[in-house]
Amino acid sequence: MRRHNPLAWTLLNIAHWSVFLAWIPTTAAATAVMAQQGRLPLELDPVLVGISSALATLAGATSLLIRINSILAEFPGVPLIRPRIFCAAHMLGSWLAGTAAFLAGRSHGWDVWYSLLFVLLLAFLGAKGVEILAEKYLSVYRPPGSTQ
Amino acid sequence: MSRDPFWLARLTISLWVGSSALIALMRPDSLMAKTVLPSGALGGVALWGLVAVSLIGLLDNLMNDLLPRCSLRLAMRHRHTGFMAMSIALVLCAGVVAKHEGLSPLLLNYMLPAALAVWVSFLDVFARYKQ
Repeated sequence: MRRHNPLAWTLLNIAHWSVFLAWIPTTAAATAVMAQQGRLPLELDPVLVGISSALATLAGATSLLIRINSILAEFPGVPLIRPRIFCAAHMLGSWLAGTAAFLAGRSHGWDVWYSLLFVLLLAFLGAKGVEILAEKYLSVYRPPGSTQ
Repeated sequence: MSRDPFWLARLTISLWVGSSALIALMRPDSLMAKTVLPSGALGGVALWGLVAVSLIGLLDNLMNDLLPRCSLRLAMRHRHTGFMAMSIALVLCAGVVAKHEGLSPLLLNYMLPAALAVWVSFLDVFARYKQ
């Protein structure tokens, strides 16, 4: 097996994470500049942001529970092979779709009920969509008798 | 009679949430009614939804845990969906309250039972298939 230089490997990892996390300072800088110019596109109430995040989390958790229940009902006691990826797929899908729905709802100035219901619906669909994609490319549980 | 280990927690949540929503629908001067019902027709729908889900939870408790030789498998297999729907309806109500009141201690009235319902749902799903 080919051995990697540890220093090069560490630098590569740092570069990888820097690119991955670059959206945080970019968003912060863009928000600061727009606030200074007095043209923030959305008025985001922090409490409503928190409630929307809770709703998106609940939608993802519901999708996750429904899937776990269906797996366990079919094969009781079956082990989940990649539980973290399995959970992360649902939650990532719901949070991404929930964020998009929240921003769309607030930018259109919808009523709070419709805005929250839209977040809920899209977050659930997002979680289901990523679940289908994740299970298409990764095995998440090991059915009895399989050798994988 | 084999009782689910979380039957008392489920009974408490169903009674707590169902009675709060029913009181809000029956008494317009109650705290929940004053905060949720003025937000529009969907406030009433959310409260009636909470009553319906709580009644299903109570029926599930009665048939699967309390009455001997009785079983309602459909309610047992989809129990987690009911409790997650209950917690979602509670958080929706909290969102409406937050819109008008901001960060208020009133939110605890909705968020605490919602958190408890989610916790019990997860524990219940894993406990159900453990044997």
